[in-house]
Amino acid sequence: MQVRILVVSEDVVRRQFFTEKMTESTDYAWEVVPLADDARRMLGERYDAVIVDGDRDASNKINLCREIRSYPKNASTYVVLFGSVSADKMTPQVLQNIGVNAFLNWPIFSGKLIKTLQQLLEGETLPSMKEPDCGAEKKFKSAPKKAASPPADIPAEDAKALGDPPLTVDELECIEADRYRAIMQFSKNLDMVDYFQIMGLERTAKSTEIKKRYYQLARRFHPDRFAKVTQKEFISRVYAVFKRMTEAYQILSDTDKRRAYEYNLGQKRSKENLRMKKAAMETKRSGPRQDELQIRNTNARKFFSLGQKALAEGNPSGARMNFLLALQQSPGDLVIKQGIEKVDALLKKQKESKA
Amino acid sequence: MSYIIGIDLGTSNSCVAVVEDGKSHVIPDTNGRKVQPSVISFYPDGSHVVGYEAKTQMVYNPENTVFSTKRLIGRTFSSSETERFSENMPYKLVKGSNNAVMVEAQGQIYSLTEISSLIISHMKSIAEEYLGEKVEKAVVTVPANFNELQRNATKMAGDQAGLEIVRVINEPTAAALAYGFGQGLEQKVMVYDFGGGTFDCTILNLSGDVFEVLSTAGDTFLGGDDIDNKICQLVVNSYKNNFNIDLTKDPLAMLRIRYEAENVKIILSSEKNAQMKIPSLAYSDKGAVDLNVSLSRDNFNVIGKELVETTFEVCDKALKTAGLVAAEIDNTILVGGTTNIPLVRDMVQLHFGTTPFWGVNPEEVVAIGAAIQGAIISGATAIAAGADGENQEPMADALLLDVTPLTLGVGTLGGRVEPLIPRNTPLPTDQSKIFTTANDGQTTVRIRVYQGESEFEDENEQIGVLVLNKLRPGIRGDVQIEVTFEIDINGIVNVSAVDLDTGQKQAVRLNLVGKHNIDESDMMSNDATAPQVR
Repeated sequence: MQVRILVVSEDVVRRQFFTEKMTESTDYAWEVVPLADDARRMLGERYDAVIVDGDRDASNKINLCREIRSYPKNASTYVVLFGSVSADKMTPQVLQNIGVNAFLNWPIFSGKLIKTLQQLLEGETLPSMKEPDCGAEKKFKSAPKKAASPPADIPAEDAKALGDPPLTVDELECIEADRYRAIMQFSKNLDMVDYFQIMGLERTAKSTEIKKRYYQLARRFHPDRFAKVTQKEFISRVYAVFKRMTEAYQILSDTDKRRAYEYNLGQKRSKENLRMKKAAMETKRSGPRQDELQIRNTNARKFFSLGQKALAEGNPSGARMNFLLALQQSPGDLVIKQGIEKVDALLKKQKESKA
Repeated sequence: MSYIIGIDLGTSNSCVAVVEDGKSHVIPDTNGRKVQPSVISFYPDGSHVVGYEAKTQMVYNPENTVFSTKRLIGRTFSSSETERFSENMPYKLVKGSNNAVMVEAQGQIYSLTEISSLIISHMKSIAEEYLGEKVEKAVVTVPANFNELQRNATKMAGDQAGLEIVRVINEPTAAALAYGFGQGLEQKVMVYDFGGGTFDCTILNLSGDVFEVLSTAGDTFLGGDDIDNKICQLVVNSYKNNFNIDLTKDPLAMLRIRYEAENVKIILSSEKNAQMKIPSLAYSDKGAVDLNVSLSRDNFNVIGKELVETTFEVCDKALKTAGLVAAEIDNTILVGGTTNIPLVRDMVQLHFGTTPFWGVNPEEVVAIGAAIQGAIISGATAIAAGADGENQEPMADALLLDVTPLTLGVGTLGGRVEPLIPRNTPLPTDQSKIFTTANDGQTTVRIRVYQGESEFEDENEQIGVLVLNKLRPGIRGDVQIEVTFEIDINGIVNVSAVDLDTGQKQAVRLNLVGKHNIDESDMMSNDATAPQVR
């Protein structure tokens, strides 16, 4: 299973570096395009990393860096920026603001590039080209037989403090390679993604899509799905990622909270606005909104008025039947639900006075 | 093959189940009985017995026979529930360190956790006897409305019984799992869980293999026991009126009445009339007074009606939170022995307008659900293996998405509570808050932590004190510590803290109420009365 990389650069010589020099390693598959817009067209497919040349068309390129993770298939893709700008100017703060995981100075040494990519991909040894012969699931076949030293990008002191060895071969084989990678990528990008990105949703996502998507994510990333893994560090990453997904689900499922969230995010895309703060979560509604006071669906409205007529004529069970039919046409409608509640209370009173 | 058993530790009865060869079933004891009374009796020689044997001891040895301790686990000695409870119970309750509730039997003192662990041990041995091997792991269930203290104490009881508790799940969720596992349902269900001591109502959305809890509401002091108490009340009142005898002063008499009351309640589920007979219940100046009354189902219904109405108030709350009306619920699942009572079933049908589903045995369904969850965790979805032993397409694992039942908050100025994580928040979840020092040079900060819905401290349950110590001494307000409260998938609270200026981890501890906590730095520090956070 190769690592797929997309490269964007206007410069012919730089493109040649990627298409000729870098193809010596068969573990990586390189796709090289000249323009930012070409890259945007390609992002419908999933890439493990995107390398962007920031020296030409800089502002467009930076916008591209920010956009990459909003493509559903690339929600957890690594972004590497390179250019002639002095590396001192590219502080972690700056990189975070533009949604970039690493910056490299041009000219790039191939060894350095590979090392950077490996670090991003968590120091895992890349699986060999041979497909495993068991099942369709991709597994780490060429992982070392004994536990390797802790991942490269954790500082030495912390690595010692971690204590636990990284995932063993048996554990790795219990979770598919793409889930492992997704968790690692998500957990490192948590400070840069918003709720839509972490759930892999478009901004226009409807509420039914949100629930469905959350269930899909839960099937993949809920901590129970990693029950066989004992390494605490990895499990805490799973928790961190899934907690964020759950938070996103909670906020985006509530119309008011979602609206407030999108507004804040639109004002300023900063680290604070990527999550909904507690105070903002307590939105109090004085009553139903204007648009919720009417029944939109025509059929639902017909049944509802029949029901109301029945109620006026002293036939609550007939009214209930009509209300239920109305609810079928327009599920979740508040007006209809209120009607049903009223009828149920009436019917109950009737039964009790009979008893 | 290492099994993970599922244990339903109930107020009145406990049940243990396991998934074997792809099928989940309750484990019976050597006499073939599927539920075990949650009763322990202590003998003078220090030994004890659990279950049916202990239950018979209730009448002969009331002061040393302990039951219904689930109603007290995790509570403090000074709480009103404990007071109410000890008035009705023949065995002795004493106050332990940290305001904990302890039980005294045969001159020995036991914590409630210990009592529960003895019951769990009993269930563990039943399982080991049946399976023919040692059992080391279990999933244990708790009422959905149990707070942090109650959950923690239950988990510890499991630890003390020598089991690794791999998961604590809510009883209604376990029931929903037993009902819907592998059925591929797309339904909204309401679980009506009326047990011996607690009532829970949980609304779930079932979507194939995903079981999402939409809302939960409950009362941890409302159960079948209360119906028994009402029957007892009838007898007490009639004796007061007719013979001028106050039975409440005689614990043995009260116990005998309660024992009979429970039997009568059960009989009236299948018969229209029942006799309550207790010879020589009390003594008046005219001699022994026997109890000989008959209770009809109609009388009984009058008594039970009010209690059942209370449960409906709870259900309506749950429905409202979930944003649903009763008409939108596809199925109501009845859980708990108390739902065997015809009155309860009839009233549920009347109130919700649907015939409740009772295809699952209400006394066993929770344990079965716990066993299924255990099997999922152990990866034994050899639930895939068909009856002929061939591996068919693996059945989708089930995923339980639960919520926290109570709002978690911290105490602030003016005796108020600031909510941090609202109730019905999907789990896992976390929330951070920044705390700082109120005085120069302060090295310890203590914050009270609560669970409950009121904005006032005294109306909530204080679950403990968050202690931040060994802080960097500085000017007041200078040191900023960000504390993260996390509620994990067991519904248990964990805390962590970071010093915002240094970025370093900060030592933090949540000292739970009712637990003996060792805190050396408390003994050494000079700010034992450290002022509250700013």
